[in-house]
Amino acid sequence: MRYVYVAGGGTDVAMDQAITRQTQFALYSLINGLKQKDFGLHTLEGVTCDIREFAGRFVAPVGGKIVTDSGGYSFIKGDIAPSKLLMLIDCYTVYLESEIDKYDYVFSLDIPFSLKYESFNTRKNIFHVNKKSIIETRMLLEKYEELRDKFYFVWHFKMPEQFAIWKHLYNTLEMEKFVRNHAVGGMVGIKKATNIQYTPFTGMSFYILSRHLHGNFAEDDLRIHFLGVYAPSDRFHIAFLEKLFQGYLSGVADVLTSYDSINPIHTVRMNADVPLYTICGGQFVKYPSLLDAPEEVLRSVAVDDEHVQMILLEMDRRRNGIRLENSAAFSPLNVYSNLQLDKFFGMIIDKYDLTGEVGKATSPTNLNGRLTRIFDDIEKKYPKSFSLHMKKTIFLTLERTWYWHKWFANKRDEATLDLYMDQTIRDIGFPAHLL
Amino acid sequence: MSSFNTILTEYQVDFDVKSPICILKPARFKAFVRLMQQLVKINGPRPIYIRNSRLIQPIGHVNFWVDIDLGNILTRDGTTEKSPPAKDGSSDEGVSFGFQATESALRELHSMAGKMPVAIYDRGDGLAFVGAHTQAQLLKPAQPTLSLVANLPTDKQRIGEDVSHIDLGDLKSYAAKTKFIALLCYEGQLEQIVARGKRPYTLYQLTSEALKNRTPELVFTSQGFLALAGELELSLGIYRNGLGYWLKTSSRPSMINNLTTYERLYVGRI
Repeated sequence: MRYVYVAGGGTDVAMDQAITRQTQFALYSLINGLKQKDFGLHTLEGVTCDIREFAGRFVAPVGGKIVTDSGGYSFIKGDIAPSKLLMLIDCYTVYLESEIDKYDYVFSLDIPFSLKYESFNTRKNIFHVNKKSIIETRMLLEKYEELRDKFYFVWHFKMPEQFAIWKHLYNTLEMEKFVRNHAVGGMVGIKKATNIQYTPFTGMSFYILSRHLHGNFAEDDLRIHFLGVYAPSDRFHIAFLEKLFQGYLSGVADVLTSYDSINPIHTVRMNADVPLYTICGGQFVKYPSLLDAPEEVLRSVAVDDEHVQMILLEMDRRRNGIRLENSAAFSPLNVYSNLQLDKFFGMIIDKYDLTGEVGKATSPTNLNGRLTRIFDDIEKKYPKSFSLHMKKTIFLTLERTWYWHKWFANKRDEATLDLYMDQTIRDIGFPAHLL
Repeated sequence: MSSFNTILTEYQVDFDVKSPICILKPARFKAFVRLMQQLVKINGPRPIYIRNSRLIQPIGHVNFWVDIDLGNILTRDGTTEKSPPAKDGSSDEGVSFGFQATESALRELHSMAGKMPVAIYDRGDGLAFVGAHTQAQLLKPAQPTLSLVANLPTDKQRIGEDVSHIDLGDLKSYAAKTKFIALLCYEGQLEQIVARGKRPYTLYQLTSEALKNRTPELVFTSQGFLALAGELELSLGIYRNGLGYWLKTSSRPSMINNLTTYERLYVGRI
């Protein structure tokens, strides 16, 4: 599981360098070229230059990858009027074709709903605009074979109508011929809106796995990206699913998961005091605050001595309650901390063979017992590494995953898959609908 | 017919498919009109000739030429099918048409830009640009083709190296609205520009030190410096052919395949 750094939010060179060096994977959105009132190819040109510069300056030197986000979010938040959606689609496809040898990956242009133009949120409108977007993209996928390696198809599932639309378009436009990589969208704010505690994307991930196995690239590696995920319990589950799916495809292909979030960067800008996680000599250590970072960690994160001194100065300011001069100063440290936490999740899943435990469990009750025993042991060996809330979230999520695993291991049929997806979406109970 | 082809046919019905010369999708149409407006702004109204999705002609006078590859903007069928760049105008793969570009006609086109695709039809004496709600008629030029032959410098006639990695915003802000820009070459390499009343601007930052206390061997004056230039893949170079010295400026404004201008330079300062 890899974290993808959401770049383009500032002008702090040391921060960009220090973070990209760690993640070796960055996401850059087209949004800055598409949110202007008079947007067009002339505004897209500017953000294209920015993406090229970022990739050349920070990503290429560390042998990393850059993924371009379509900028469809500018429609969601209302910067683009519905009447200009064809313009948006055209800008996106010009970028897709013109810059094909410049990006490593690119997300599809998905238009799931509008926060501002509520009357646009009908099944008919969402269907038609996404149909246009996917058809235009499909033409390029047909034309450029290399685009198929780079393209991520973004799914939406939180509203039943959305999932029906995406499923229908994927099937009728025969996207299985072209889609190698998948992404799960629409997850920002979903838990808050629905009050669900468990991780919502298990069903969608199994659905993607199923589409992959029925598609033209069944014997190739499967990439799944989770857009806008930050909660540690959700990341734990991504790591779990990656290992579970790797087990399914073992010997045939690999499964590579990733997620992105602006949260590790923003949290520390907002003055929040967050813990520092680190793995040292196989031991997982949790410091109460980033300000407690050992020098060795700080030096491994910073780009040079000057950067170390800048972070130390800002630490002093924060300790003394003085406003920071560089609000992004702790972002690289927080990214380090979160990457270490992800590594720890991977260690735990392997050490306790959690995927195997789900496989061996005879029922959710049985699984709950197994997990209780395992997490008691984890608590002894790694005290306070999992909060009670997080443990509960993991249990709830894995209990739901048990059903999906049984389906995959035993039946793997389309009828049950559809039934389970319907049930999953109903259980999530997202409060809004497309009319 | 596969289900995708059925859907594609339905989708194409959305466009007015009655043998137009081409159909421009919204962003491409807007970029096209914007570019034509810039051409008119440089030196007044003129006939525009596009052959195989490529525009090669002088703008205003024979000392300033443009070579614009519109292969990704002007496509034959309005799909994203990319026309191959027309190198010599001999192939017939792209889109060809001519029209009288005037400020008022382009203003009319501009008002159509932004929301829906626009189809271009040949209507005998003029071109009709047909959008979803309105249309505009542009006159064709009196001469159906351009009679001038381009005698532009080739790559082999380059002096020094092309300069790239240019910060367009910074350079434009330096040049501001100065009409005459001096181009300074040292040992055959374009290194600095000078706007009247200002200290020289070194194009490549690291070279500043190397130019201290040196006098340029060649000085030219440009009157169309950075006209039409975009930020993407911008490069500047000095060339020399039988007609004299040229400033070649190449970039990809508004994501078009390529836009190159050739300006014949005045030798010396004005």
